[in-house]
Amino acid sequence: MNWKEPLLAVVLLVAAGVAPFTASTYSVEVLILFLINLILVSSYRILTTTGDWSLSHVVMMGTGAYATALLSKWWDLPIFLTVPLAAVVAAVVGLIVVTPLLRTKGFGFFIASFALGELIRLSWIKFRDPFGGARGMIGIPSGEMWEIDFFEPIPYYFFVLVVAVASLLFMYRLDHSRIGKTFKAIYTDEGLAESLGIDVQRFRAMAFVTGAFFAGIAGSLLAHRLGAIDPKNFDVNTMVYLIIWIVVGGTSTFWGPLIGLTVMTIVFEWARPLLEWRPLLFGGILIFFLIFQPGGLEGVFAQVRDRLAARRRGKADRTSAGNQES
Amino acid sequence: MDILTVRTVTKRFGGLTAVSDVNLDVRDREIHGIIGPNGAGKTTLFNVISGAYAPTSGTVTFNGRTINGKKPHEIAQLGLVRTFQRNAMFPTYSVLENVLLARHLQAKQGLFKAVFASDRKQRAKNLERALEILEFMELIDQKDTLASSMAHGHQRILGIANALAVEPKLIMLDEPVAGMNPTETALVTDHIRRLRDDWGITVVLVEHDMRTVMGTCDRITVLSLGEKLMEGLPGEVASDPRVIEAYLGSDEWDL
Ligand SMILES: Nc1ncnc2c1ncn2[C@@H]1O[C@H](COP(=O)(O)OP(=O)(O)O)[C@@H](O)[C@H]1O
Ligand SMILES: [Mg+2]
Repeated sequence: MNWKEPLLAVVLLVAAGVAPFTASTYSVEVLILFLINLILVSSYRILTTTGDWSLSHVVMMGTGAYATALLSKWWDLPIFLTVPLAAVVAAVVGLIVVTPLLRTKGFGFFIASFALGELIRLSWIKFRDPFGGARGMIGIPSGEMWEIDFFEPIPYYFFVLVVAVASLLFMYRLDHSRIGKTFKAIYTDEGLAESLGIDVQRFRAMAFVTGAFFAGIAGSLLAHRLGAIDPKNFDVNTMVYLIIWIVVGGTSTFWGPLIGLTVMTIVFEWARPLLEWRPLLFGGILIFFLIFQPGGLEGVFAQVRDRLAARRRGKADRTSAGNQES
Repeated sequence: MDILTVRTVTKRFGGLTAVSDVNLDVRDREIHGIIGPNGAGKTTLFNVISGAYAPTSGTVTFNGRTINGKKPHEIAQLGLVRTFQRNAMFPTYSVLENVLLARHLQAKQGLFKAVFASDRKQRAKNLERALEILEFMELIDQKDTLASSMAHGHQRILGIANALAVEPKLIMLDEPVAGMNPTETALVTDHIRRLRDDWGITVVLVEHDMRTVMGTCDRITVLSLGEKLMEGLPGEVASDPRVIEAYLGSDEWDL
């Protein structure tokens, strides 16, 4: 295993631990949303590694959010139960959604996933009881733990940080496990993977359900923070943001979507004064990347790294001329 | 001993009967050729055996088990692995990564075990076996070459190496020397023979190129218009008047 990734992780963790104390309350709120979105964007990448670009992923997040609202209201469950239970609910809904979707592929999958997602979202609008209709649900508790009130941003920030780190660690391990490799093999050549003994449908379902599980966690954390959710939070606008993050970052490594989200969050905050021009800016960025840098920022990093390595190798060759053995 | 038996298999596509009432017996450790002019139903029969199509009627038995109705991945797991008419490799991976990936695909473990358990031992074993396979297929010198940048003949051999990662008892090859020059053809057929001779693997060879089939196969089944014309030794097939008649006027066959 290489040492760079763990080192980077430690540096980031230290930075994440210090950050809220140096930031304004507003910035801490931004950081909380950022951490939640890290889970979301990373969970979405699991699906894309099999080639299944779903348009229902933020609806899976919404499922986690609505489940959280209902679990808190009906049974008054504490936050350390609502978060995992909401994830399980999202995973179960994910399994129900993906079952018919497995019959489709590529563009058909894309469109069908949108239709099924909308069906769920519209049912939140249609069924006022219990989902609250178009206005959504309000009064979702912020949660507390060990008598620490999570209404306060900094304690909640650390709660979300712990959940995010655990989630990302799981997804990182998954990506590097034989299951993650299987997902990528299916994407590369489904027929070949099948001929080598892979149950393609089962693994596609596994990717979708695991993605929904973590999207459910993100939704639950979001619901507790916002205190109120409505169907608009999880509509196609939000989905487009998710796609922008992941396209800007790239999907071929675990880090790509995380880089994309980080950069786009900075751009988003920086462009705050532009107000209604922001969608235009974001649309422009999306199109720019699709046309000129389809591999995302991750691809840029890889190119720079390769070029540096080539230069270093060139230097090494020149200095070690004479003892080529090593 | 027969390792693969096909009994009265018929496959219809709407009104068209692509394979009609075909019987096939493949003995353990033989190289069995399936030949016939274009449209004879070779690929269709192949797809029925490998599970890509369910037969309209008839049965397929492999190693004592009925396999018709099973899915392709289940049949592969039982030890009957196919290759494709196209290339059967992961183009963006190196040669070694290809076979390693094919090995990884064999592990049967759940999500949580895959994520939490350390699989160092399994990885070491997979690496060892992958190198063995590459050594056997004489690809070891190219192990770090990107699959997509290899010569065509070597890509086909890598496809066979990937299939070997499944530890098959029988390999079905669909036109493995299509589009190759004589040198490449000789290289590939040499490897096919060694599969049987050194590792005891049964081979079913669907082939267009007559010379390859005659020189490589132990026994040959001839298909024509979806029906089985005859079965026999290469010499018997080449001199059979029915076979000659079936290919008269078919320019692709020069017996
Ligand atoms: N999926 C399919 N749908 C309809 N007809 C098919 C299909 N596959 C093959 N056929 C037809 O079945 C016949 C046999 O084809 P095939 O098995 O590909 O022959 P071969 O491999 O011997 O050239 C041909 O007439 C072909 O057009
Ligand atoms: Mg064919």
